[in-house]
Amino acid sequence: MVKPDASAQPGGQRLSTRVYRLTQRHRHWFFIGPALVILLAVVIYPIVFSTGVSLFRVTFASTSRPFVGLQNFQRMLGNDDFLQSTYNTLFYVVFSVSGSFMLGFGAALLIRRISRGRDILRLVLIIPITMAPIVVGLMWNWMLDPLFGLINWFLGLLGIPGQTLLAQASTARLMVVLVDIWQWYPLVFLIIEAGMATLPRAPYESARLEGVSSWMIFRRITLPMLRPVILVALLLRTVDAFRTFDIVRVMTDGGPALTTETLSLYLYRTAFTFNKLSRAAAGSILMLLVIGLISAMMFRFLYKDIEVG
Amino acid sequence: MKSLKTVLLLVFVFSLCLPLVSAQDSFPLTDPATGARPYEGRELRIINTEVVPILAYEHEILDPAYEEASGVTLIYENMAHSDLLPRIQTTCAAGGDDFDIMFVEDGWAGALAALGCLEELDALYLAAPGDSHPEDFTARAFGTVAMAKEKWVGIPTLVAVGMFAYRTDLFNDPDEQAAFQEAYGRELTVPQTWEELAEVGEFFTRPEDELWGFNYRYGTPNNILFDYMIHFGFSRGVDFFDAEFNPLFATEAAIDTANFFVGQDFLALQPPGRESYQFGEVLQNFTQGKVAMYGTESWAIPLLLDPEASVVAEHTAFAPIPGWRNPETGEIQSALLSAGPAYMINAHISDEQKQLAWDYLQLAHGKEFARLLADQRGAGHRVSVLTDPGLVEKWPHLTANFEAMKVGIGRPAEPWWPEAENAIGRALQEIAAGGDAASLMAEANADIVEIVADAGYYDEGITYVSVEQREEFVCAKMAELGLSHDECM
Repeated sequence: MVKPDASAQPGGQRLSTRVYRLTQRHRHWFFIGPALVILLAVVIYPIVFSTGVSLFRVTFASTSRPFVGLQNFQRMLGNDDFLQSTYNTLFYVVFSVSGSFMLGFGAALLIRRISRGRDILRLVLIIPITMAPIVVGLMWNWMLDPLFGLINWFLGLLGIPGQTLLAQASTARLMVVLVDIWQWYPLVFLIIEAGMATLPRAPYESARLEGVSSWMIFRRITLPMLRPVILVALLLRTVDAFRTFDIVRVMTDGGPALTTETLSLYLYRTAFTFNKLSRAAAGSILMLLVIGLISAMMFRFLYKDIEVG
Repeated sequence: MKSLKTVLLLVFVFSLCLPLVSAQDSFPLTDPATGARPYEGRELRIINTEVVPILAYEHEILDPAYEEASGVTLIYENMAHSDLLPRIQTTCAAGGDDFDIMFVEDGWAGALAALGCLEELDALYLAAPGDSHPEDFTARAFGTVAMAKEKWVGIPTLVAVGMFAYRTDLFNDPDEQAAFQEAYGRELTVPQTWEELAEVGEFFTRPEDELWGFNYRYGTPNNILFDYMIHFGFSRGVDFFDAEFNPLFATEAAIDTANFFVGQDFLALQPPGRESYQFGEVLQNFTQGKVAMYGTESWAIPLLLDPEASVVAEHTAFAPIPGWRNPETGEIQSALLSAGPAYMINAHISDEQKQLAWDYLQLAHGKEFARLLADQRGAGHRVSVLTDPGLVEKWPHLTANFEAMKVGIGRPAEPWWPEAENAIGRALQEIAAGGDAASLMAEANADIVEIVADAGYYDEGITYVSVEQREEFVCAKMAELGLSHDECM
């Protein structure tokens, strides 16, 4: 960086030096400023606005908007459908995140042991994530169709009678979760595999020289070193699973009998079908708090033993 | 002197404005008879859904005819049916003019009217009636589909009434008839009562041949509630609300109907997956020949009769829906829901664009073009079409449609209705999943009371618009417009 010529003009010299020092001292703002402005406009402002809306009674059907305080939160927390969709979402998050994590992690471990055809296999494994969730939902809907679906055709070959997996309250939730796992395990796979590629070789070589078993190497070396990567993968999947909307909308539309309705779908319906904007805003604030809490816990765990800066 | 000048100036300004006022009072219309094309080269934006078969046929027939007659280009924004209301509501709430004409289901009109985005059509009609003929609908259909309480806001694009489609190749087959006679001790006929429906359904349910008795819609709260009411509930005397606006879903009749319609015995006579099937799937099962009978609505007629769309099109016939035999009178009761969408004009567009929108409605959905659609596709919802001897001879089901449109009961067009519909639909889905009908219907009824109370209908003096009131509104509107209507005499 070329410093300004301080001897040129006494008056201008002082000003340019001051400007230079100022820009140097605050240059980070120039880099984070644009992102911050966009964040404020499309994330922070809507959150603040939604919080405001949640304190009033706002509907599409009326122009009057009386202040109701926390009544919308109260009504949401006392609403059976909200509680049911919260339960469904937690079920979805727990099983979808753990399922996609195990499958993705397993695939990452396995692919490192393959020497031939690894690139092609990697490409094949990530195909699901390249598809739009709506397409995935429609595709699985057809495959699971009891009358003409591929899955039932295969089951028929095995002598198993046709199953109505998306129509039964007992199986629909599980099927939606399985489809979500199928679509999103490649994300975990890619993150973990990238993380594994950056691990240093030295600890592994030392462990092998000392005759440590593969399981112990995995437990004592691989897992601890991958912890930040694992947590990032889990965080991304958790947040993503929490806001699931499209796959469920296409596959079951929340049915049968509310068994697959996620919070996002329920809040969408509350706002845009039931005309209850402020109640949906209250529900979304509650959802945001839960996601925020879980994310904060994960971040805390992630940075527990890591020195930052 | 000064005040005289002011008066003269005002008179001058007023006289300048007069042509503008009179220009809004009357405006020219496209007329194929005279070749008038006042809007040639203009564009009209319509927000719509493509999922309803009859709309696709309208686009194939009416829109090209209008574009040719007018020189106007129609631009469609087609959406999934379930996404349409949110899209229209948000645009309306923002005062947007993204589209000129919107597809509005009767149950949505209340919410949109409250937002002030539905243009009242009286002034447009009085200025240029064209071929619109609002008196050419049954009072119930017009009051349900085209009006928001006492305001006239739309031209119906279809009126749905319940119907029963069945396969004549099965019902007229001598072997089937003999087998049925042997099994049930009576002649194989198109079912007229619920009991007959269950028997005939059982007879035709042969999973090994990929054939089932019938198919109803259970997939979404909206679908399940509709089939519950149209095909079963109304005939048993179930209604949405009483005169005091209390929901009627926990009555004995409502619970009995639920036990029949979503009972496991009845479900077993339908193709697997029935609990999740929506209108597309049940329609598809019939058109693929997988069911012997099918409870449908009049909007499906053109598709069911199209040989390119249905493998059983040539063997498809229609009948009134099976009803409930009243044990006291012995009569078969069969009442129907009358519902459907209308095309409505966005109140937030310019006056010039409103005139163009009206030009489209009066012609493309007017009396003559309706005849064109009925003649080619067998679908109609105007009285002149439904009673036309030539058309009735060609399409016999039009008479049954007409009768149904005279007595059909519309669903409430209130802003909170979708939420109430969801509550009762969910209960029915839970019964289908094995839940107890009495307790679930009672819970849903209580939920609806809360929803209605929450909307201020009990305490804030807002009243329910009954079917009879709707007819009164229609008659009053016809009188205002200087029209006579057969049902308003």
